Amino acid sequence: MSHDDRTAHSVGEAGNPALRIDVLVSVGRHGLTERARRADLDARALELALQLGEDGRRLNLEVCHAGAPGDDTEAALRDYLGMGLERLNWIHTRESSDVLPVLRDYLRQRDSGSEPRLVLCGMRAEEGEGSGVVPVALAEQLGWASVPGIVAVETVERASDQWYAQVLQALPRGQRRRLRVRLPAILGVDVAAPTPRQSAFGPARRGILEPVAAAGDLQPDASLAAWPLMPAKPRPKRLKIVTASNARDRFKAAAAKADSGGGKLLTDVTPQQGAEAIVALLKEEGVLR
Amino acid sequence: MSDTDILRRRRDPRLEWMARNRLHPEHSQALATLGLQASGQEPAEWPGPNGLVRRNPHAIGFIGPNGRKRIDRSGAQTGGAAPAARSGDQDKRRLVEIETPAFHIAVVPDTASGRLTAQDRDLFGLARRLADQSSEQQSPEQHAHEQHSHEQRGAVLAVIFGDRVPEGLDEAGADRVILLPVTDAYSPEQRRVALSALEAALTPRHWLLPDTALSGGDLGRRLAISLGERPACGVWRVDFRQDKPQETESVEGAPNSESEWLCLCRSGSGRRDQSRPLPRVVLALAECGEPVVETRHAARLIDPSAVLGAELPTPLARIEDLGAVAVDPAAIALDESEFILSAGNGVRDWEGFHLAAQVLGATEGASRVAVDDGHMPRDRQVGATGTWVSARVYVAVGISGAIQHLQGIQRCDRVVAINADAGCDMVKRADLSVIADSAEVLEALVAQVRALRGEEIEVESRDVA
Repeated sequence: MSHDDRTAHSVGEAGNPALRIDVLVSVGRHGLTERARRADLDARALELALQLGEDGRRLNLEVCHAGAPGDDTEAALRDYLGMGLERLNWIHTRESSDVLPVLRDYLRQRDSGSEPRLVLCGMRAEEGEGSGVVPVALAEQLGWASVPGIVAVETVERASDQWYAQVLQALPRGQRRRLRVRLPAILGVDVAAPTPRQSAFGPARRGILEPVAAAGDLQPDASLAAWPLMPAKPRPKRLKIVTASNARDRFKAAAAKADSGGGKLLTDVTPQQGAEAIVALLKEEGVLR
Repeated sequence: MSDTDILRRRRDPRLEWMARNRLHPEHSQALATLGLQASGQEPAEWPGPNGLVRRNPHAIGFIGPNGRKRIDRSGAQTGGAAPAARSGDQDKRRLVEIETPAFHIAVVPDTASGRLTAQDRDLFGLARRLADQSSEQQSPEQHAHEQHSHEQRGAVLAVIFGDRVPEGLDEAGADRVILLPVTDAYSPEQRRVALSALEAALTPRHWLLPDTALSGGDLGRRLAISLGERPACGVWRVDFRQDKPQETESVEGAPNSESEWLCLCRSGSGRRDQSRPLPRVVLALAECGEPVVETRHAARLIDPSAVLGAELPTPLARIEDLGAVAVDPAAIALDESEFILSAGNGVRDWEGFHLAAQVLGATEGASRVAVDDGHMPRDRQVGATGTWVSARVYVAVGISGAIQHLQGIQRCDRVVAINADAGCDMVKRADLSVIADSAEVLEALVAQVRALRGEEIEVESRDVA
């Protein structure tokens, strides 16, 4: 969807309340050096949120991180500040705490009711378990909608006393799907979302990491304690298993050239007939739109 | 008493020599006289007087392509010159039916465009292991008694959304199939409610879903959360526990720790593994198990209304699907594209080719030669030195199919070749080959697709009227 379509809906609704966006960010880790940095997907989520504000829409943007204090973490969080934020809420937890109730209480506390509300976050964290369950679990506990694989938020509009967001979802094979989501909603941002802007050093230094106390008691993450994470083992490569009972078949399997064999061959046909056969195949596969 | 009987009693070496010598002018007569005409009449092997197996090398083998006699000693061929229907052609797989399963293992495959994906098959393989676990535990003697072990076996239940059963569920390893009446549109909430209803009715021991971003992974996470479970995500290995889990091991907040299976979960970044008892909801990566090859299964359809009751509960629909968005095919990365029109050395009419790609809505690809000649940009090159594509349909126009190019299209589902040469390697690889001038075929293709689109538009306008 182009930029013009988006502005046509949203600009000029100045009387509308500001769009409330919470971005949940986490600490990422560089794949090679293992150095702490902003998490790629979370940075994309923040980028989406910042771009929503560039349309001239009034935005009430808050960024939040829940985690244990540490130098590494602070450096990584400053990467987000360098994207153009003034402050970032940091809920201090312990290394072993479960962030789910903490985040749930945080989001619930800051619910002001009437204004449209979006929560953006990456689909998966880079550190820790990284199972991608947090957005779904948060949405379930809060009773909100949860949509994964978001690449763009097109419009946010009101219809019969309800706020709806029109979003684009990335499908496999580069396809996109348009969805209308009732707000409040938690949107998981996909890798196909726009690349995050560069983090600038000055704003990163100037920005404030604001410590926020967790609402309730910190609860330990029992399952993570019981089943600790360990360095990943290399996955074995799957071997081509030939279940032939005799040497001839085994040899044929080992020496076979990759040919599908059962192909249909159309010789001595007019181009029209050939094209008909191809169109039939394309239709059968459903790639002809 | 006929002549042949006499001749059998008394050997005629000359006649036998003529029968052996295929180039002898009277070879066929000699064969007829010796009664060897019909193949397989003379036994190729028989027990000798001392109990030794005697073989007649003249009665076996076949004539090779160069006119010489070949004997295949692999055992695939016995006696007789003509290889009859090879045993490999028949379906040798054992048919397994499970009448009264002790439990269910539910598998919710992704079924991209009505077909099982490779990951789905791996998942069914894993489900089979979990379902057959009771027979795995048995001693080998008991294992031989299929009937006995059946009673303790579980059944693999394939859960399909929609009204079409994908092909090959029996080969993949499904014992039961249930079709849940849910729309094709994106409706994760409705699907989750349908799965929850199934959970209440059948209570499968495990739910297995492919850990894909949108369909299986998301649905599985929703299901697990609604069951109050912590799902195992990114499972890539499942092992049977040799030692019995101890009671003291069970941890508060870690349900189902008494499971007999251990699984290894890969973390989001791929740098950490987590070993844990297999929970009820399992989201598994590709190659989590070996696909079923040796058996076939019943894949019996279950009536959903008998299991779930008349109607599924309808949840609050917070998400509405507004349909697919038209994406510029040229903007899609080549390795992601599902429909590629690829040009090679045989293309002369480049404008016609670009027009065809535009009309068909296909992403453009090219062979190395077309790129080297400057007809196409380098980032469009398909093959070993270019991009390895995984399109669903790959149309190769004027590409002969160098091995480097064929490597690049290994993962494509259907390949169509438009080529002037019927003997090229691409035609051997292709599922459909049209041997004609490529420019004319593309022109006809464009005309037909345009006619098709035109008709569709007409039909729509008539509906509106």
